[in-house]
Amino acid sequence: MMTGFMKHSLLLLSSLWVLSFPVAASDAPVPKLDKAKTSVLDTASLQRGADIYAQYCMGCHSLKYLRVNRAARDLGWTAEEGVLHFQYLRDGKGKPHDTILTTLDAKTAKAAFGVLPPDLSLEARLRGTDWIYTFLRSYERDAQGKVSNRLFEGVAMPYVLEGMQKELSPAAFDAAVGDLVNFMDYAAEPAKPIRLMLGWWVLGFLALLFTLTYLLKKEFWRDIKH
Amino acid sequence: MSTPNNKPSGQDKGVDLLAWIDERFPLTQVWNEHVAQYYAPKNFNFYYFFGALALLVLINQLVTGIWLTMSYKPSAADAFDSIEYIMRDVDWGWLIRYMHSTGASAFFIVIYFHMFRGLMYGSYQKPRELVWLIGMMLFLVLMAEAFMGYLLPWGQMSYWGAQVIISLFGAVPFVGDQMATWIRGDFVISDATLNRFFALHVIALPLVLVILVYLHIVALHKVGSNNPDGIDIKKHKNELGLPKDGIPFHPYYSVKDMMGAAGFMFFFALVIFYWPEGGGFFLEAPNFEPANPMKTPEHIAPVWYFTPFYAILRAVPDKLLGVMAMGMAIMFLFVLPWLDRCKVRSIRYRGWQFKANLAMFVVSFVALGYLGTQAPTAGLTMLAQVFTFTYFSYFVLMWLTSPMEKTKPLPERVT
Repeated sequence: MMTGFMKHSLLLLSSLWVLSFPVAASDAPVPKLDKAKTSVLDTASLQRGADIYAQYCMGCHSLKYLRVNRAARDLGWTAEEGVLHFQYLRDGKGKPHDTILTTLDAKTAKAAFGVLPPDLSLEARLRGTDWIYTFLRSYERDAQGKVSNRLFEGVAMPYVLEGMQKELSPAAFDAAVGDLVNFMDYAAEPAKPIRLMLGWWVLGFLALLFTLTYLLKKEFWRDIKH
Repeated sequence: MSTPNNKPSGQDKGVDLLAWIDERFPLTQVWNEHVAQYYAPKNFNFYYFFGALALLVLINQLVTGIWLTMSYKPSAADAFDSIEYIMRDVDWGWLIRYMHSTGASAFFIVIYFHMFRGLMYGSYQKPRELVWLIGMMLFLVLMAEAFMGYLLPWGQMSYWGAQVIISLFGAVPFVGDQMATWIRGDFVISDATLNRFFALHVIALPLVLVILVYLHIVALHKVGSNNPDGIDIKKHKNELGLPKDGIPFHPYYSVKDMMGAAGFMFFFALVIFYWPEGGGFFLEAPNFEPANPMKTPEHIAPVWYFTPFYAILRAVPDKLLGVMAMGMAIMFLFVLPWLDRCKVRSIRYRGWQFKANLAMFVVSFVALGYLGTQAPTAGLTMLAQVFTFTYFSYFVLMWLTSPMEKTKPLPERVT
């Protein structure tokens, strides 16, 4: 049975040779992204990232799908602490079950930036964490004081992290951006920490179930002559 | 049976109840005919897990689908938000949703293996033509089901994928545009389209799927299962009239399929918990942005399980001919039982022509699947044209070479 299976799997695998064809590169050169080494299981990193988000990003960018009390619980804060960490822009008037909304109104935003700053709830799943990590570290200011971004030509977003970048060592700045990206990864999928932790138990159970059903099958099939 | 004077024991009560039911409904008879005394060949190999697994995945899709429906809102204004509501606020909603979205891809992986098994061992040949035809109808309905389900999250790729596919109907001469409008219920993909796709996805097509699965199994049990040797096990029967190489489905294949199910679920859970996006193939990144009719994505690709047919569509320069080629790619599979004129079923005893032909077909299918995910360039389109040619040559060569194949002698009994 296994030999037949292996033989036919070879037939299937042999079809994969085709994937090694030299594929003509697409027209636009894909910029190389730096790897964001983040983990949503690192709660301390998520807390630091959440604070950076609240200070530097939330002024313009909502997280309209993320509830304050949910985020607080997952980040190891009480709901009240969560309100303090996220809602200081509204003088503590926010409710714990509110989602994280910017106080910037659309008209002012349009006037200031020309575009509406997008909601970032799902940005980490839309663009990927590596893209955000690279993007935030690709800003530069030239001698004339003109701001540009190496990854995103003609970006409307200002050089928000400039102060932080000047203040911190390059390594410390990378780490801070890493924390921020980590928090955004969490915000895009708040179930991710529980998903990653629960998975091993499910897989362990299924491995056990497979072993038991294998033994059961073997017992039943003892009397079948091949 | 208990005598009228004695009170029946617990076991007798059960027997009485069964007798009571059997007088009114053929329960024991159906159980025996289709499970306990359904004799299947004893030499099933790895590929024979996929029939049972297809049923398992169907049940998974039905059950998770019911629970998703409890929280999903089928309207253009609310659909995207309601998915995020399921992912964040509904208890275990994320798990149910991942089981459903991963289940869609798993369904096609399982079905493609299941169909490949049929091609390899000639399971479509006489007398199983109807098993194959009903199976092909299942495949067609499954594609429609998956296509309509993919619109429901109302993300960018949902929207533009549906836009591209429905606009294909516009290629039909004279009535094409009216047809596309009729399908959409609007001049563009809109709330009306979402609502009707929802209706078709959650009730109409699942109902058809379940009925077809029933017919698929009824037809199969009428003629009996094929096996990796492709020979008839009913030729050699014992004194009781039972096939010597057959074993009752229950308990032998019920326990074996339980093992297969556990093994499958292990890999299924691995994807759900650690790889739910499937590298962008199971959940595409652009679908994390709400549908925006004013903004076309740079690169629109259908979900991976449609890409072989999509690549054929794009390989043909003319739109109408492309749509026809895509349709033919599936229609040819329907008539395979009549294209294969060889009397030997299994690849184990067939000539080199069959083996080379099937290998080339698999290579073409996988290559087209890959090419369908890529943005078209001149080089890739030419490659897609080559593989479209080899895809169709499978059917032509099958018709031409199958009568003159030099086959190996068939064994009397299964090996």
